[in-house]
Amino acid sequence: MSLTLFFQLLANGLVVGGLLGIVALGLALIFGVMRVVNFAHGEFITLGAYATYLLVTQLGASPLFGIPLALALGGAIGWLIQAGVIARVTERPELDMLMTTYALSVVGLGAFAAGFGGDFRSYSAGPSGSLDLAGVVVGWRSLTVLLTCLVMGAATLLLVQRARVGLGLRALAQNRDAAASCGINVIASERLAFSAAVALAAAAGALVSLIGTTTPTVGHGWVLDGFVVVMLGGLGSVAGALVAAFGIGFVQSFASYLLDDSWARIIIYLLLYAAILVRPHGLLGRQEHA
Amino acid sequence: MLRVADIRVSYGQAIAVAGTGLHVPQGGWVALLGANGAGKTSLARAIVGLVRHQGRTTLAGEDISALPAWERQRRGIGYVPEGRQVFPRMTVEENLRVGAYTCPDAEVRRGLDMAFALFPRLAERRAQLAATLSGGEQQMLALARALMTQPKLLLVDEISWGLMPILVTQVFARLEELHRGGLTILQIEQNAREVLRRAQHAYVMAAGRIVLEGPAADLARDSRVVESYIG
Repeated sequence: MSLTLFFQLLANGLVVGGLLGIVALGLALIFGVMRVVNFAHGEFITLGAYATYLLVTQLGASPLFGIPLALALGGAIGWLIQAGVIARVTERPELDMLMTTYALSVVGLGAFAAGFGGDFRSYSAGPSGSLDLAGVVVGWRSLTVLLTCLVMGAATLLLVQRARVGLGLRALAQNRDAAASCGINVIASERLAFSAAVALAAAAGALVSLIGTTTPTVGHGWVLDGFVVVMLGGLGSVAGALVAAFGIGFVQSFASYLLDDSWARIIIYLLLYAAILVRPHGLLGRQEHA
Repeated sequence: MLRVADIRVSYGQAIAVAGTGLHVPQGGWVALLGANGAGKTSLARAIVGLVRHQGRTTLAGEDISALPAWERQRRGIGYVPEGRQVFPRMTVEENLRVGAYTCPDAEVRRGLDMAFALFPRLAERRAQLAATLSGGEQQMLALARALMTQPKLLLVDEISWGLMPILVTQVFARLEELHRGGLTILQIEQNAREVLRRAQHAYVMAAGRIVLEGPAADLARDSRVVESYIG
């Protein structure tokens, strides 16, 4: 393999990894704070993709405006769904919760299929052309995706690690009762975490629509890989998830080129199984109580 | 300061607190004794708002019965839960900052200064993860965290449990200091001897109800208390 090809594959991996990172960050945030596995996360990605598609094709706007639109739309819808649907079952057994997010996913999928049909939707507006760095060609669209993911990821991490609201979310993730008796409004905090995670998913969807086609199932593939990333990185561990995201991105990029796309998927899921085997406490086994 | 009445807590069919109450006067130190499973911790969790319950709770004259835990904390209840419950993957300082989550920055700094003055050990370990502290240090951290907002009432649940005797003495000395400073204390405690020496009033709980109460000095001599809890 030539060095140029190597760097080309590395660049492709970075773009995939960036998107996976944003998706996984949301999943980890929701699981960490609420102990909820959000099967509906993929539909929020799809939501952002279609919102951007409509913005471009119906209003003639630049797809770049799809990013803030998706953030706002995702934040608002996440808030409503958490308050109206999720919060009603948080105190119930875990299976009820799983089935609820699964039902949300099926409803979302059905709604997109009914509204848009199964057609592959794409647009040509927005950044075009590519950057040639000593033979390594990176499209401006891909670069836009990567940079946006890095900015959103860094902003989220900064909020979680440095801001007071992040301190509250981390406290909540580590001990809900202790957080509540320290004056943290746990209900509002859970709503905020869910809403922020959905906003990130929708923004990822806006970016996905920029570099690929949008279908009712476009979010599905991303969210499955997102789960792999979160599991490899450790559920509830934000930094671990980001490292795993780029790892999976590189595996995806190199394996698809050297073997083919199906092999990339097989390798990723074998890695997941290997991770399950080597984790002594199981993938969900980090719920320590002091 | 704190008045609770007709508190009922049940977990499914099991009744943990069967309609009971108590009173903690302003500036008082009140002990709550009882065997394991008597319902002390459930009563405490009802008072701080962490468990679904019936009954009435008033703090400094205000009815707080309908308020969730975080609103009760903001009205002045500091809680040191059974089993410490520090945030394990946060540093000592972060744990304390969570304790002052609702305070303006100036008060957070003042709270940190106070906590580190009261517990120099925590100052030495301020950047260390709470999970790596010893049991006694975690207990001090849980206490310091509850004091960050200068609560009106401090509710401590089994603070001496699992501590070496020398640390038990230290923890009680800290509580004495705080009480002299005007803090009102409600203390659930297995170590009846130590707490009855310091509290003014005491309640004894059994099977979800208060079955005995009186001045702590009297209870310390009461044969039923001595047999069951002091020995």
